[in-house]
Amino acid sequence: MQDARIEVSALGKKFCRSLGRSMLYGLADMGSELIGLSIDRRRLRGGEYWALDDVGFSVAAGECLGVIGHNGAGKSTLLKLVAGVLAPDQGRIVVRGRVGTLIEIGAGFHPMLSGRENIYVNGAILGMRRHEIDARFDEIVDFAGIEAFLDAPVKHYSSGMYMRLGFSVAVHTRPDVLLVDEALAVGDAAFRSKCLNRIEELKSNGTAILFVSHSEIDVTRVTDRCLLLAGRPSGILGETAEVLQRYRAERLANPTLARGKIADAGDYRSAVCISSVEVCGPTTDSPPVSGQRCTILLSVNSEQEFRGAKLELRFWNSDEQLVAVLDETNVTGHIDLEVGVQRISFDIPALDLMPDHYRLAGGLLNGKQILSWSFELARICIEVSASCPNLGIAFLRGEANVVSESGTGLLPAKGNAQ
Amino acid sequence: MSDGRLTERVYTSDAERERGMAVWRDMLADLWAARELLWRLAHRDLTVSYRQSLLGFLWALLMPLLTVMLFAYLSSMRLVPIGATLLPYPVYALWGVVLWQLFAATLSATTSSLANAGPLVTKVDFPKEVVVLSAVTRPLFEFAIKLLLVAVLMVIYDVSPGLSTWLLVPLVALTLAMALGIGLVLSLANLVVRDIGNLVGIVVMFGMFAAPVLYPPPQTEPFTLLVVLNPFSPLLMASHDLLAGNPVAHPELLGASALFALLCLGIGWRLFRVVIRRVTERA
Repeated sequence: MQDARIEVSALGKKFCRSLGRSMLYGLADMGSELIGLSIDRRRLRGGEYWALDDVGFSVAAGECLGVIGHNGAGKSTLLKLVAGVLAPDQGRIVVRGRVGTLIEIGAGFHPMLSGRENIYVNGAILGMRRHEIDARFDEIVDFAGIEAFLDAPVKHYSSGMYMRLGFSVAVHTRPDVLLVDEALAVGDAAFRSKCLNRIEELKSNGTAILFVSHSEIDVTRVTDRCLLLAGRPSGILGETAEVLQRYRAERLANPTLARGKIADAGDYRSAVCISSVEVCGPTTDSPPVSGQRCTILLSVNSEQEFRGAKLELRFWNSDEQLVAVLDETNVTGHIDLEVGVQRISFDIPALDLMPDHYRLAGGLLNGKQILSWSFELARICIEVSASCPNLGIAFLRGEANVVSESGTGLLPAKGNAQ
Repeated sequence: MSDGRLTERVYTSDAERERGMAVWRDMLADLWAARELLWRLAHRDLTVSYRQSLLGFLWALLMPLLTVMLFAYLSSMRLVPIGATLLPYPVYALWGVVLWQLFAATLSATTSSLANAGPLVTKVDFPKEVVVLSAVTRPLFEFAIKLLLVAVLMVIYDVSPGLSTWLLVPLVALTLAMALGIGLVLSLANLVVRDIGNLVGIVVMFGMFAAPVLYPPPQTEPFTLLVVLNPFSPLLMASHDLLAGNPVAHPELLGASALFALLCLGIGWRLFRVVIRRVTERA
């Protein structure tokens, strides 16, 4: 590819688990490098492992490649290799043009210097010339939104301001290649959105972007293709939607988390104790499936009678986001608790949640009084079904119809769409 | 966006070695390209070091002044036998202390420079030798301030060495080169094993007594070795000769010392360049 800004071929990087040995190997490597011996870098010495092995991809100008994978999959290592901070053990990396990094935002900021001074220092670190910084100074300050604090030392900045300034300098270097490492994890929603807009803008101006993120939403939004580094070092490369689906399927295949499990007695309880929780899918012995009926069965042991108790449930996804709440606003029916053990069944006609692992929190309430509450009633895995989309976090249903020109009535032909 | 010719960088496991001798050209080109960064970092270091201080760089004058006063006192009280010196003792000792401190402060500042730079070194790529090089700023700046003090003392004691004073410039440059060359290597070591910084601290503290800084060059047998073995000593002795308006007494020692300084710088820089990425990985 002639237009490729980043070309990575057969890239390998090994690390060593033991610090002592790592030092020893490092000395050996450096020694042989200095005297010009070539060493067999394919060989793994004791304690070494391949953090990345045989990774290859290229990123063209104006393209954004997402890098996803669980923690420790080698995402940051890959980014540091492309940035030139680390040296590869195998293979070859070619980078063309000025590189902007959002790996460590605000690296090189000195707490004692003012925002203004730090812009110049950080700009110089990222390879900008003085006249370039002068020309874009107002833009940088404006984007970061720190006009009022420009001459205050950055040690007095809030972490958000610090972040914003660092990001702003980095994206105003007009890089040919931009490396982003989960930089957007901090910062409020408005700034995140601003950053993503800026990244898209750079992309349409021809910057090649390597984007590491845990956020599927961000990845979906800005990337064209994705590299999945998970489990196996060499990675899977493909269209974003396709790779994300693989990633999700892989996470769900994790055998340690099966369907609903028995919860403990609850983190908070008074007179009521939830002794077991069972989450079923369409049939009593099937796991919960996305978009289909789901039944939650609870065994409750009460020491007192409560008339009209309410059940409340909360679904937290694997990113620890609260995605759905079932409480008195959207649950019909109430529970009359008797003294002793009772089985309560809770019916969800359509479990419109994306396939993922969920933590189910919830409990029983009597008016404002909490009778029992558990932060982890159950851990459930909602499985993929044919009728659920690949992307997004919400699950909507819809129906598409052709409306006649006059707008007076619906045509009989109907189609379903998700 | 710089269209047209884009600089191309290639990273392989042996990128530096594969370049062969061309690597020297790369090193110089990279350093030239980073001149603005060097200036920025140097400026930053200076600004920061005096920003939270009332007396600022005046502190730099206190240490040599007190050292020289102490030794002048000890010497005059005959508590410490100090032989005859080429120059009036206060001038002799002050210049010695000032030059030694340039060497010592440069050595310790460069040694700890990479470790102090933190994520800048481990997360961002740029010619890292700039970080080490910029650590020279403060010692050099303070050296310049102290020179004023030396000048004042020279006027008081009526020492006027004439035009040969200008030959001090290459001597000072060699002193810096030696400290920087050693510092480049030690900064790498210190990035991985922080003991190096402490070690340098000790060496610097006692090193002053292992060179004819506060006393004339020893003439008796075992101690003359001090002068031959300490690469800093010939530079200092030559500078004393020049200040006294004399020819350099031991040009062969000076030559060896100068060669050592330049080798330190060359080898140190090359080594730094070859291993920096491997060291960063373990920082």
